[in-house]
Amino acid sequence: MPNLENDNISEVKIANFPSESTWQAIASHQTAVSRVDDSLVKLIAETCQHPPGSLKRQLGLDRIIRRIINSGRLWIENAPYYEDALQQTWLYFCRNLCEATTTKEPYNPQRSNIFTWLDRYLKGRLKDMYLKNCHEQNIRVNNSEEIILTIPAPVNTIPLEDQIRAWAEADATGELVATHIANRPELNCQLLILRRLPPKSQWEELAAEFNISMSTLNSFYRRKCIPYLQRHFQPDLG
Amino acid sequence: MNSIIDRHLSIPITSQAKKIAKQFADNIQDASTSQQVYHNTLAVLTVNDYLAMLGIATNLKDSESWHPALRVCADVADLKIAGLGHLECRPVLPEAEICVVPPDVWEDRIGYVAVRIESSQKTATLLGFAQTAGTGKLVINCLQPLAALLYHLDRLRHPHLVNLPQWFANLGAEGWQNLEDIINSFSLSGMQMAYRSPNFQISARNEVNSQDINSLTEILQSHQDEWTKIQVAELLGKIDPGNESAIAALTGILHIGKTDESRRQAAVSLGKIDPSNLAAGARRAKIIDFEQSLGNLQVTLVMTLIPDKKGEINISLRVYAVNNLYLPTNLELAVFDEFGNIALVAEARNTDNWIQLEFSGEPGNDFIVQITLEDVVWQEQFLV
Repeated sequence: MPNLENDNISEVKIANFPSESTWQAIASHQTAVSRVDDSLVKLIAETCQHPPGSLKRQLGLDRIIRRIINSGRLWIENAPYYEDALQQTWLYFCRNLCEATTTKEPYNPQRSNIFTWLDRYLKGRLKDMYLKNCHEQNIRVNNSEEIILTIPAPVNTIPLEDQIRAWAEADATGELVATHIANRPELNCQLLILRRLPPKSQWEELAAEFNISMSTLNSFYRRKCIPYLQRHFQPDLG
Repeated sequence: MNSIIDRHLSIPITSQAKKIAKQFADNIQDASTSQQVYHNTLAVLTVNDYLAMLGIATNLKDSESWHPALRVCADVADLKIAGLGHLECRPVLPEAEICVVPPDVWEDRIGYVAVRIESSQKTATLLGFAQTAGTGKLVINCLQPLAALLYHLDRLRHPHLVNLPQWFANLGAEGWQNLEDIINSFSLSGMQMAYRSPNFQISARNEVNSQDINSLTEILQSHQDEWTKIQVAELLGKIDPGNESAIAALTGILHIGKTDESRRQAAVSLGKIDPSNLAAGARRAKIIDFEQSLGNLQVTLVMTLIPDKKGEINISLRVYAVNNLYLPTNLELAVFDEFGNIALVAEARNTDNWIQLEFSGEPGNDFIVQITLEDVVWQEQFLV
């Protein structure tokens, strides 16, 4: 039945050919997209007029980033290191949008669309991280024995809570007991530090138990007791 | 309001951030404290990444949240902003409507940012900002946009207040003009409707001379309506300064005016022809640009000050559209007190020509005016 075949073909053609309303929808979508792009270009130009570090530059960058994210047009990939690559891309974006800080030239709106510019950098970082990831896996597979041997033994086996508890209970200098809320010697830093160690008593409970306002208690702890902790235990290196 | 979602900003959680958070959490035996420290650290590092993008310098090492013993003994999630103080970055779980701020961090903070750690743990969403912890429970939908945080940090760095008492001495402030100058240079349809109406012919003239006073006082006696009072009061302000009859007529309106608007206009006119009068008011206006995703929009903020009997200043704020009769829907006008707490708010609905807020301020106090439209936030701080 050759006729039927022909009919089928023509039907397929009709089905594939976008209707007039589809064309209109595509055209109006494109107009909307280009209008958003135009306004983004304007916003970038306006933002870059203000010096780096100025409030208006910060407010502008915040709005540009928000608009780019909310447009949903940025490259997305389900890679374990995607978030790392994306954060590097944002830093690159903010540092080179108006002035070239880490590149040779700043972003040039005449040369590329902002999404193209960002996607190119993002995809570059994804590729770098993919290669680095493979390389590290290779090393791990090939040297697994060696790696197990080089894992350092934990330096300190006493949990931090226990260290703090031992220090507060001992109160070698007597300063924790000596520091207390006026006329309330029982409400001293030793007691509060021990009661605030996990599993800690809530401030509300302590206030009720000792019949004192939560803000007095908490303010005393912050101003008088926390400094002892800060002095006695070393901070992390940031 | 689509802006609630648009106000949020999602920031990727890097593997480095997760590594540090895990390391901090693993040092703690107690499961719930360990979990809290993990979330706190992610929140701090996300805000740190956001501020790094905007070029705002931070100092993790000097943050309380970076101190191992403090993390165990206090629920801290602060980030030290170089030279300014500690910004608390509170983690919020997905679906939570409240951001809980524990008593541990009610003091010694320059502000609070709520950070939602998404269940995927791939992104964290910066939900908004509050200057104070309030009752320790911040309603997420009521948080200020992140732009308010940027304004706040900038004010801490470069304090800048518009000094309102200077307006009574006829001194200006940057960007603030006489309302008449703005009306003359823009087509302020909505504003002209409110401040002028074609009731009588004198209003068409820009100058009023002393011969007109008699007819103006006659109009005042024969028409008791507020519109007439407002217009006569406006015209009397155009008479040569020092004219006794005009001053007497304006003082009369100040006493018999039924609405605040006629009294306000009388006080402003009095300020023009008798600046040293104790009842004299002042009015200035500012054009504010809102560059929107679909085109530009300008509004005028009109601020009227009149002294009240208690020695305070009555302040009225009105926002009009420029080149348009109606304000855009959802434009929001808000006033914050000196502690950053929201004091008053008004939002434009369909076909609002203007929105207004009115309050009294004690000399020496300061407040912040905020106008928000879509993703644009404008703020300015004033000293009463």
